[in-house]
Amino acid sequence: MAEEPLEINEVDLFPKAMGATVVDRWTLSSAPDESRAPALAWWPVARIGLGLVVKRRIFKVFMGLGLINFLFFSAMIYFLAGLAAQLKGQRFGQGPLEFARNFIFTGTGESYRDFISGQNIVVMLLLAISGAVLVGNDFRFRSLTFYFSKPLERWQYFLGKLVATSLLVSMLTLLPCLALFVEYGLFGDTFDYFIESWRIFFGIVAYGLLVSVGMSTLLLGVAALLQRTISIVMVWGLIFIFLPIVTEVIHEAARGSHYWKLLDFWSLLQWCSNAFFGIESSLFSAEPWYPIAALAAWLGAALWAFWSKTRAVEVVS
Amino acid sequence: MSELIRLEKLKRLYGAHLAFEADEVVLQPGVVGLLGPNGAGKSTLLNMLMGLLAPSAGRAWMLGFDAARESRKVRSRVGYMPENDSFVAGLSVLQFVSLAGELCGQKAVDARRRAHEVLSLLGLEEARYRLIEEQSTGIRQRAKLAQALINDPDLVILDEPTNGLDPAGRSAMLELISRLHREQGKSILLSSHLLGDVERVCDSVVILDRGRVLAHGAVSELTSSSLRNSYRIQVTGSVEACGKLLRARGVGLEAIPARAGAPPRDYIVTLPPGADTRLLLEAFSAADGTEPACLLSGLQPHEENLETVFERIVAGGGGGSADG
Repeated sequence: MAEEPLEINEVDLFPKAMGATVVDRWTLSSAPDESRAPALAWWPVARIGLGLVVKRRIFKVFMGLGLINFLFFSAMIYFLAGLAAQLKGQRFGQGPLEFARNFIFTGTGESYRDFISGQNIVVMLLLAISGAVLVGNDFRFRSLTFYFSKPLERWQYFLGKLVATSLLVSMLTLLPCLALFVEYGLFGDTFDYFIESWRIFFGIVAYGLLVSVGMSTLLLGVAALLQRTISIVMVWGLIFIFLPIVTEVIHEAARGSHYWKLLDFWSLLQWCSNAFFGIESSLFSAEPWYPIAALAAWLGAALWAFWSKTRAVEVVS
Repeated sequence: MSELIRLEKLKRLYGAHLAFEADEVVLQPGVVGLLGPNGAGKSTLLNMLMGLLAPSAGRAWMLGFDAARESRKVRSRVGYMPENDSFVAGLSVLQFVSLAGELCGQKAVDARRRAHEVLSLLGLEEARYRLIEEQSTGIRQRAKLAQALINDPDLVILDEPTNGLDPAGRSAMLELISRLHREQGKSILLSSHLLGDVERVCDSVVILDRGRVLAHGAVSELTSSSLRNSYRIQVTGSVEACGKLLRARGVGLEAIPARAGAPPRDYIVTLPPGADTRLLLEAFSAADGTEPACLLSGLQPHEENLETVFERIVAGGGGGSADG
């Protein structure tokens, strides 16, 4: 016997579809009010920029590379803490344990500085690849006309892109470094490490932010000028690989003159990290304003490049 | 909304090159066409109105706001569809339109709901989850229109919206534009070099050429014969005698080409200011019985279309304002 067809009254179905949006094909409801403060217009720019990079496979590869270093340090802190707990009160093994502690991760400013500096290599590679996605494509696909036809100011666009790039960098530098700091402190017998190491905490935050914001600003300038991935990679390589080699050679030839190091972005970051962590260094110890001025010049040039290229309307002569 | 747009001694120079100049133009709400050949200054004007380009001199108001000084308020209330493709690469159509809503200050969830509505209105339901840069020109054009509508603007500015569309797509886009005004009550500023597009959807028009506003006013007024006092006449007899007769009374005469080899019999005549059709009738009556014969066999008001108006105004270098 054939089954009787069910009679369904469509109107009865609506209450069951709670939260469903019924779209009328031919009418528009009034637009929602502006619910976000105008000054926060940069946030969608940042969120979309970050999302565009994060969903790329290359990001996952570099994130994985960055995590390897972090996981190694994290595992070593855990391993040494566990070993120390097991060997507590025993004379046997204290010597090798102390040696391993000094060798692998000491919990001092130097170890956190070296961790972030090590991550900087991965950051440099990631930014070289991501520059076109984050910024360059906006110029190539004329997205700026779209952005600036909305109530968005130029500084908000810059801030949005800067936040997106800085968050990306922070995910590989500042955040894992803070995680290591917390992990190291928690494995101690007391919480004294956190109290005694305020300078280290300050150093991590300050150096992490400098690396994030500094490298992001540099990238925004380079990407706005060059726009295409291949060009960005070449100039990025020039700044972070070729220039340090050349300045090192000249530095040697000039019998150790430090001034050539002002052209090396890595050296400037290194000097800043030493200053933040309170690590003594002979580099520019007598002239602390030189590296600050050089860093300001690098970032100023990048800002100028970004600012001068970021226009809604391109005037063709 | 009393005035849609007001321009006062607005000027934009690129170096020494004049890109746009207008003494005083006032446009009322409705569907306004911005008509001119390529390089006439249409996009320059739109960019100045949106506050994207600073004027070299003068001021512009849109929806009562100073376009240069209150640019943010203008951009909050206006939807702009640029001429060229202007996308955020890597986003789907839905994400792109939602982003436009968020940039207008809407919450992400509200912007997404509104984007769904606008995309449905424009017939983009099926394309909404596809990458925008991989879509056809027709879909990209409609996506650009969708992002312009996301904030429920009082005025929608469309810069060459039918660019790159096939005839069917072009017709659909023009129908959409008409419906936006008819059903949604939006004012529209349509910039185009296609006379047919403007004539089909616009109530009033601004005619530009080489950076100057040559004429502006309602389409019906610009194409109406009453403004220029012109008529179409048919004559029989000696064409030369007719011409001489009318020119002697200050009547402008323009022959309408006839079949190959045949003398023109149809003319468009423009009467001097203050005169009416009695002048024509008196002229031909006075010529009655003279040799060679010259007879008026037909007379009707001359109705122009926008194309002939445009050609006449551009050729003449200006036609003034139809609204005052």
